[in-house]
Amino acid sequence: EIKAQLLSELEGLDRGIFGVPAAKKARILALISELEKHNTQTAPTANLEAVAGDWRLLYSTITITGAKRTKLGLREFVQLGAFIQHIDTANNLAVNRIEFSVSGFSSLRGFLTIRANYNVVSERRVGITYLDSTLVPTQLQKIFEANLDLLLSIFNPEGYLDLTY
Amino acid sequence: MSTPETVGCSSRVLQTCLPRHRSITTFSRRNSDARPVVRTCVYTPTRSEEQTALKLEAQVVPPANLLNEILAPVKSDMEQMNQNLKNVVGNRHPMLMAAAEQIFGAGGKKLRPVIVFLVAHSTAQREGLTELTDKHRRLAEITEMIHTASLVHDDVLDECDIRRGKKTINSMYGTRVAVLAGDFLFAQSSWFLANLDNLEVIKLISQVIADFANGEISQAASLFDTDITLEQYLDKSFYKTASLIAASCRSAAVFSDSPVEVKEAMYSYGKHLGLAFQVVDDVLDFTQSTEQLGKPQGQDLASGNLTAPAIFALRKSPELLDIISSEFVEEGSLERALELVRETGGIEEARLLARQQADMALAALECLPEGPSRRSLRLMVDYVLERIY
Repeated sequence: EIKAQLLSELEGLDRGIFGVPAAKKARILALISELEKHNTQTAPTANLEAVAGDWRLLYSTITITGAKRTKLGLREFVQLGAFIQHIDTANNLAVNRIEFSVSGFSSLRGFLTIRANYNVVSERRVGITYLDSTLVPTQLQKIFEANLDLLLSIFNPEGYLDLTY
Repeated sequence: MSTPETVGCSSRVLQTCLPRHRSITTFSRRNSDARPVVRTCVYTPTRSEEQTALKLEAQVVPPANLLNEILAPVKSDMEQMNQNLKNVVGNRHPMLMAAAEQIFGAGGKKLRPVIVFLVAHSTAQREGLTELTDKHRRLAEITEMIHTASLVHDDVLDECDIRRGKKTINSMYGTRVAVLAGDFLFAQSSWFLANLDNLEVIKLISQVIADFANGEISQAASLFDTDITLEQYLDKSFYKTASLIAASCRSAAVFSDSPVEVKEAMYSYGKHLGLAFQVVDDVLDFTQSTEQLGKPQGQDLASGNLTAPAIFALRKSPELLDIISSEFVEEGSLERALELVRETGGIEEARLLARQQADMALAALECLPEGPSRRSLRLMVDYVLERIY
C-alpha cells in the first residue's frame, strides 16, 4: 500500500531528474523510509543473487537542471529514455544503460552504457569501480562530443552503493 | 583624406586618415566597451548653423511630444516608404496581400527606417547633398523588411498571438503562411539589396541576417547558464538587435558618400543606440507590470534567458544562482528571484549600462552638422532611455 502511494507520487516526475520541489522530495523520501521500516532483509549483500538481472530506474536524486541541462541538449532536442541497471552476479558486474532519443528528421535512438565492477564491503554496502563507457550509435557520440565529460560525470557510478531489498 | 569643401560647410578631421583597408580591420563589430572608436571627427559649424542649433536646443521637448518631434523631419519620407512597402508585398499573391496589411499597416513605430532617414538626411547635409537618393529610400525599405521578417518568424517560434496590438500572421493564417511570408521578406530584401549595387552595403546588411540567427542560437545555447558574462550578453544583444541598426546607419552614410570617419561614427551610433534599446527592453521585463508588458513579469528570467539585471545580480547573490540553476522548481522561487534582482541593485546597474551605451551613441553624433536631423537623432537617444524610468 505504501508502494502504491510512492508510485503515484512518482507519476509524471520523469524520475525526478529534471527538478522536484523540496516539499515533494520530502514526501517521497518519507514514503521510502516508511517502506524501509517493513523490510525484514538485514544483510542484503549476503545474498546478491536476489538482485541479479535487469532493474528499471524509478526515482533518482541525480539532477540535471540549469546550464547542465542546456549544454546536453536535454531541453528540446534530446530526450532521456529508460535507465536500466543490469546486475551480473557471475562477474560482479553492474551495467547501467541509459537510453537517449533525438527528435528530428531521422528519429535517433541510442544508449550510454557504463560498466562497473562491484565488491562487497559490508552487510549493506558494495564498492563500485568504474570500468568503461560506450555511447552508441556514432551520431549520438557527435551530439555529446563537446560535453562528454559532463555527461559521464553525471552518470558516473564510482563510489559505493548501499543496498536494500 | 579629402574633406569636401562645400558651400557653407567646413569640416575638420581630428586624426590623419589611414588607408581604407586599415580602417576596416581596426574596426570591431563585437562590443567591448573598453575599446574606443578608432577615429572621431567633430563637425565645426558655420555661424548660421550655430545659431540654428542654439534656437533648436532652447526648445524644451515635453515627453509626450518627443516622438512627434523626432519624426517631424522625416514624415513625408516615411509616408512614401509605407506606400512602397505595401506595393512590394501586395503584388505577388493574395495570401501575401492579406498578410501585407498585418505586416506593414499602422501599429509599429517603424523606428529603424526613421533612423535610416535621419542619418541619411544628416550625412547628406554634411556632404552638401540637397536631397536623399533613391538608394537611401530603398535602404530604409530594406531595413524595415528585414526587421519585419525577423518578427514574423519570431512570432512563430514564440507562438505569439498579438503583435503591435494586432493578431499575428501565424495566429490568423497559420504557421505555413507566416514562415513563407517571412521567407519572402528576407528574399525580397536580399534582392533589393543586391540591386543597390554597392558591395560595402551588401556585405554590411547580409551580415545582419546571419547575426540574427547567431543571436537566437547563442541565446538558446546559454539558457540558465549562470556563468554568462556581460560581454557575452552584449554580444548576443548586438546580434539580436543592434546589428541591423548599426549596419543600416553606416549604409545610409555610404549612400551620402560620407568619408570613412563619418561612416564609422554612424555605425557606432546605431550600435550603441541598439544596445541601449535592448538593455532598456531587458530592464522593462523586470520593472513593468504584467498589464503594461502584455505578458507575465519576469518572463526572460523564467525561461532561463539571463539579461543585464540578472547578470549584475548574480555577481552578488549566491541564492539567486541556486534558484536559477534549479530552474525555479520551488513554489514562489521566481518571485524570490525577481526580489533578489531588485535588492542587489541589478536593475540599477542595468539602467546605468543603458545610460553608458546612450552616451556613446550621443558622442558619435559629433561629426554631424547641426540641424533638424541631428537633433532628432539626439532626441531618439532620449526617447529610447525615457521608457526606463
